[in-house]
Amino acid sequence: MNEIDDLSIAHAKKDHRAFKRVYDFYAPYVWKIAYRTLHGNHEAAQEAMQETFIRVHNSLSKFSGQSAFSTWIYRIVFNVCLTLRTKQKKASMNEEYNDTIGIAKSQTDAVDAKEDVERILAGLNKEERFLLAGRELLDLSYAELSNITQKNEGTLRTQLSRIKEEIRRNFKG
Amino acid sequence: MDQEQNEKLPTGFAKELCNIPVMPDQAFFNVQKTLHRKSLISRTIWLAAATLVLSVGLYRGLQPKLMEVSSSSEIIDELSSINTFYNEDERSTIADPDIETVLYQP
Repeated sequence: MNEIDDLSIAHAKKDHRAFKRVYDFYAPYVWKIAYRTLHGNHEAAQEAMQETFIRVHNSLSKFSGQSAFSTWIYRIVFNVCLTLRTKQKKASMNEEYNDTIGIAKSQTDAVDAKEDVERILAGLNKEERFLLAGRELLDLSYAELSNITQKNEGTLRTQLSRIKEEIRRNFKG
Repeated sequence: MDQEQNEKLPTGFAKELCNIPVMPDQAFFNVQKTLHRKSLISRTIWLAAATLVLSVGLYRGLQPKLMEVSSSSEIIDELSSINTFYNEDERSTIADPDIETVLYQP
């Protein structure tokens, strides 16, 4: 993955414009992974993104440069998503799910596929959804995922392989 | 090859997985607002703590002076009580019948 220039990172703590550049660069990725990890809950994903960038801003001085900046940010997203209280999530997820079913009854196969995907993703836990999204949406390597989740690569490979196997078995779309 | 094949998700699933709504516009504004509020709160806390420390320091610094002032007032009290005693003493002297006898004796 491309990284933002070091100068923006170095100045992001004190310079508002530099922080905005960091935000503009990474926010779309953070949004994608948070949205999928939190199972398509718009509000929760927005809250996670907000919390992530607040933590990024507050911890910028702790970034040592040992890992890529993106890896460091994803580790924060990962922790935020896992610890985010998702009481509200269930309610809004059900609404969304019911809406989807409502459309599905009257409309196309595409909606069936969407429903199927939602059902399968609902069967995974947050960590599994994060791994799947990281690998499939952001194209993260196992080494990066290992750095983010603090698990060894072999374990992650096995875990993801099992998840994908389950998806292939259950997806009818 | 088998490994790669195992890695692949069904096309329909992968397509749907990538189907994510656009990021909300006001997200950065919210981040900024929260950062601003947190910085304001932390400044207020620092200011309150600094005021408290300063007040305690000032009180401790001034305490010996205050003690001095209180000692002075004790001296003043002491003096005024002596004065009162003296006056009373004077009055009692004047009221002494023997002296009156001496003074008013024709």
